This record gives sequence, C-alpha cells and structure tokens, in this order.
Amino acid sequence: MRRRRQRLLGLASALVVGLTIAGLAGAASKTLLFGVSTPLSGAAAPPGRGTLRAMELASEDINASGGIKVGADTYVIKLVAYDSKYDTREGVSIANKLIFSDKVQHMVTFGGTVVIAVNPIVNENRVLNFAAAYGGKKATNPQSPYTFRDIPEPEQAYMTLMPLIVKKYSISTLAITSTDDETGLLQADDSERAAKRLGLTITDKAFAPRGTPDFAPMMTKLVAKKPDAIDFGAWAGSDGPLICKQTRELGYKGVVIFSYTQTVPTFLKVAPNCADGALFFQIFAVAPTPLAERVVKRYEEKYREPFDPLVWRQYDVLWILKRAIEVAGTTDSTKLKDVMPTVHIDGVFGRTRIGGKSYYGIDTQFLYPIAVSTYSVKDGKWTELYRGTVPENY
Amino acid sequence: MAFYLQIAVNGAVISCLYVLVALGLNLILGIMHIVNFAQGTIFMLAALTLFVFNVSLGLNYILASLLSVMAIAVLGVVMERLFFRRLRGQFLPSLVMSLGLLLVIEGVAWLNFGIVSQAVPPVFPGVVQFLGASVSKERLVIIAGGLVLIAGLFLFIRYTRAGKAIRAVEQDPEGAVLQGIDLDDVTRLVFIVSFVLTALAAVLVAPTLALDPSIGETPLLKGLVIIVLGGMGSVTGTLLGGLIIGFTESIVGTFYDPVAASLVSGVFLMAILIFRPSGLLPYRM
Repeated sequence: MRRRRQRLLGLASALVVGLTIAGLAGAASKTLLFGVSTPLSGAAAPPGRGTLRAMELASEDINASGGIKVGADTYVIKLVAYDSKYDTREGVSIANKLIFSDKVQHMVTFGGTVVIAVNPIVNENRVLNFAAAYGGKKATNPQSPYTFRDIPEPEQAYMTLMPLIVKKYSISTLAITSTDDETGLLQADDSERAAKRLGLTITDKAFAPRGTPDFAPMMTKLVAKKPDAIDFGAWAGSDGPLICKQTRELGYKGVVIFSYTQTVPTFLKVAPNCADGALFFQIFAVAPTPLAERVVKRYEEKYREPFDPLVWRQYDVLWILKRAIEVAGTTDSTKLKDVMPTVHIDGVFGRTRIGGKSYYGIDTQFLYPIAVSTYSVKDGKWTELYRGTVPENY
Repeated sequence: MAFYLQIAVNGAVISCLYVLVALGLNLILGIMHIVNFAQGTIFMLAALTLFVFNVSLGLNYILASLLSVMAIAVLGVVMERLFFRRLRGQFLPSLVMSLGLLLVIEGVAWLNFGIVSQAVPPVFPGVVQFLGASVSKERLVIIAGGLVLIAGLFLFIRYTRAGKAIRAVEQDPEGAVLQGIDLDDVTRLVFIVSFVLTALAAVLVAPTLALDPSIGETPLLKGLVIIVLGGMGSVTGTLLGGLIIGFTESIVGTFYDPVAASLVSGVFLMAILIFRPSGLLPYRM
C-alpha cells in the first residue's frame, strides 16, 4: 500500500514537473511557420532544391542562434515545403494550401510564372511572399505590396555589369534565348531593353519550353546570324548546360552569357566543357564574405555534396525577415511589409537592403552586390571578372 | 548551304532516335496488340543504368552499354511473363497495365535517382566541320548507329527464322500456331527485341542528354505519333513516319520554335487519322 502511494506520488511529481517545463517552454517559445513553394522535380528541380536548402540552412542557423525575439516571445522557424514542379496550377494550389490549411503568413515562391500566378492570392490574404524569381514588373509592383523579390533581375545585372562586359569582349550584337513561359518572355524583354540602352543590336530571340531535350534546331537559326554574344536568359537547372553544349556543338564561338544564376554542380556534371570561358552572373570565385564561407561549410557538412552557389541567393531571406520582425516587434505581415524597406543586414554577399522603387514603383527588390565570373576547365577554377551594386537611390 | 545541311543533320539525329523507340513500340503493338506506354521508361532505365555502370561503377562506355542493354533485355523477359502475357490481345487491360508500370517505374526512379540531373561523359567529344556545317561527333555516331540498327532489324525480320516467325504471328497468329510456332516464344522474343532496340537508342543518345527520370517522356510521345502516322504494326511505315516527324521538328524548330514543331506534327497526325486512318504504310512487316 505504502509502496503504491509512493509510486503514485512519484508519477504525480513527474507530471507536475513535466507540465511546468512544457508550460514555461510554451510561454517562451513559439513556432513561426514559413512556407516554401519550389520545384523539386523536373528540369527546374536543381535550382528549386537550392532554394529549399538555403531556407533549411538559414532557419537552422537562426533557430540555433536563439530564434527570433519579439518582446517576451521567442519564435523558432519551421518550414513547410511543397514541390511546385514549376507549374502555375500546382503553385496556386500550394499557395492556397499554405495560406488556408497551414496558416502561414510568410513564404517563398520559386519561379516568375508561379509568382505572377499566386500574386492575387498572397496579396489579397496579406501574406508576405519572397519571390525567388524573375518576372519583372509583373511580379513585383505597387499592386502587389506583399511580394518581395530576393534575386537580382537582368535589369540590375545589365545596369551594373553589362557595360564592363560589352567593353571587355567588344560586343556589338547580342542574341537572346530563354524559356517560353512568362518568366522567360519577360526576362527577354527586360534584357533586350537593357541591351539596347547599351547600344547593342539584337540579332534574334528564340524560346522553348523548359525540359526541351534537343535545342539544336532552335539554336541553328540563332547561331547562323553570328551574334557576338548569346544571353541564355532564364535557362536554369539542367537546361542551362544542355543548351550551352548543343550551341557550342553547332560551332558557335562567341561569348556565352548566363544572366540567370546557374546550379554550378549540375552545370559541371552535364556540360563541363561548356563552362569554359562562359560568363556566369552571380557566381563569385571565392566566398564574398566570411558569412558566405560559413554557409559553404554548413552546406557541405549537412548535405555532403559540393556547394551550390545558388544557395547564397536565398540564404539572406530569412535573416532579413528576422530583422524586420525584431524591428517591427511583430510577425504581422502588413506591418512587416512596411518595415522591410527600412532594414538591412550584413548578408552573404555584403550589405543586403531592399529598394527598387525607381524602376518597379515600390521598394520590394532585394539589392546586394552582383558579380560575374568565368570558369577555366583546364585549371578547374573560377575567376571573378567584375563586381558591382546598383546606385543607392535605385 | 551550311545552314540547310545543319538542318538536315539535326533532322537525321532526331529521326534516328524516334524511329528506334517507335520500332520497339510498334513490334509489341503488331504482335501483341499492346500499346506499351512503359516504353519511355525503358528508354529512361537504359540511360540511367548506363550512367550507373559507366559513371558510378567506372566501367568503360562500351562495357557499360552492353551491361545496360543486357539488363533491359532481361527486364523485357520479366515484364512479358509477369505483366503482359496474360493480357495478350486485350487492348484496354494491357493499356492500363502499361500506364501503371509507367507510373511505378518512373516514381521509383525519381525516389532512387534523385532530382539532380546527371550526365554520361562525352564518348566522342569534338565536332566535325563538313561543308561549313558543324556536327558533333556524338551526333554522327547516333546517325550511324541508328542506321545500322534499323538495317539490322530489317534484315532480322526479313531473313532470319525468328524474324519470319514474328511476321507469321503478326499476319495470322492462329495459322502460325498451326505451323508449330510457339506463341509464347515469339512474344518473349518480341519483347526482348523491342526493349533491346529502345535500350540501344538510349545508350547511343545518353551522352548528349541531361539524364533524369523524365527523359523517356518525349521519345514515348513521339514514338506513339510515329506509329500512328506510319501505320500500326508496320516497320517501313515507322521508318517513314520517323523521318517525317524528325525532319518536321528540325525544319519548323529552326524557323519557328519547338512548340510550333510539335503543333505541325500534331496536324500531320490529325490529317492522317482523318484521311488515312490505318497510317501511311500499314501492316507491312
């Protein structure tokens, strides 16, 4: 009888202690659900996976550093990720699921066409959406104040670095190829406009669906016009190296420009020789900051694969969000969207801030140093050619 | 001149790939009256096994290709025995079975192979300049290999005992059985030949592609268009259909874009279905 009472007392004490700890933890720690809509299958899967991994690393790093502090509360970030397959219908369905089922207030969406498709949903429901996407003014504009773009567009890349490239390689004619979805078409328009501002003549433009296995017919006509350089627009993932390889096989010897950040490990697997001498935007020869170097180490430890520099592009997103939440003192997305343009962080590329009003009509564009590098197959080394940033009042 | 030669070479490469896959599809269709939707996944599996043998295990390309083709031939025997033999001649159940296999095989491939594209290193690197046109050596090998395989299949079907048995079953299954031909042996052989053709196409083309589990989708789709265009069960029709689709894709793809090329192929297909539903050269093995 006595032993039974002792056991009951022990159980009751354990229960009380457990409940107390749980209660204390509940009072101090909350969960901030963050949605990730990104392609994890199909031709765009490599950059899509890079986006997810950037979010995973950043959320783990933020949580490990004590989470996000708002008053007495501490938020830990939990990711909710879905495969959008780079498909607009899938993207809309995921946005609905994230907003109405998972109840997220903050999310990242990969791909210009998907971002444009989900813009009405996220903005009507006041969900902060970070667009890992092109899409120009159709994706980020004053009518979509909750949509922020976290990667540089051709507009910024051309403005910052293209004059230097044009001069170095004596380029006067340019051909543009891109994906035939909204992302690619808008990107090509933006690139064409920016190239014409630099006095370049556009010899031709060619478009095809993502995942096209044979680019040779399409590129035959483009190459026949002998442009000094070809901008490979929004081609990404396995498409980028494949189209480059097939273009070189057609005898093209001009300058090859990848204005969209390529998934370097995939590129070097699929078409290593085509990387030789090609110009890659937003690839840095060495880690641009100590933070970037730490991200590389974390990536290689966690995933046991060669680092994908594309991960750097999205790593800052959650840190900017953390900073904005701590400045605003709330996770409320409406307040955050107003605070975002006023905050900046020391990010992976250097100073990361948000601007772009002079071009987009609203400050929703992430701005940070942009680089262009070239690769030497013989040495297996990257060489950074130029680095720059848009003007402070951009 | 060089420009048009380039278009012709592009068309020949596309035609060779499509014809080989379509021939594999058409053999099974002609003998077993089965549209094997899993044929694209056979193409994909052959390319991925080549990658495993060549890149992961470090075997040379020729040996890796041989092992890959042999593995696919064994798979042909297994699939015929387990899934298709009992459905011989039953169009709808076999169609559903092949669709199911497509989904299962592709799903398993995604889970195991991962989402990042892989590549088989170039076997014949470099380009050849010919009358101003630039052709990669890899593409020339595809054309040459494709022509050899197509010629080999013709000779096999026309002159060997096994080929004659296949033709006999295709023309009159009951008559063939009365002549002592074992129907099970012939269907097994047809699966092996069909899968081997598709596997050979895959190992020829693999060094020019970014490999992932979706690479079989386009050859399957085009193969289906070609057999309808050329004539179901017809080898010569398949060859003709393949040339039409391949050169259409090359010409329209050059002057317009790949989507327009697919549209034109679709228009050809509809026109054939309306005006000549049995295809351009029907039922001639």
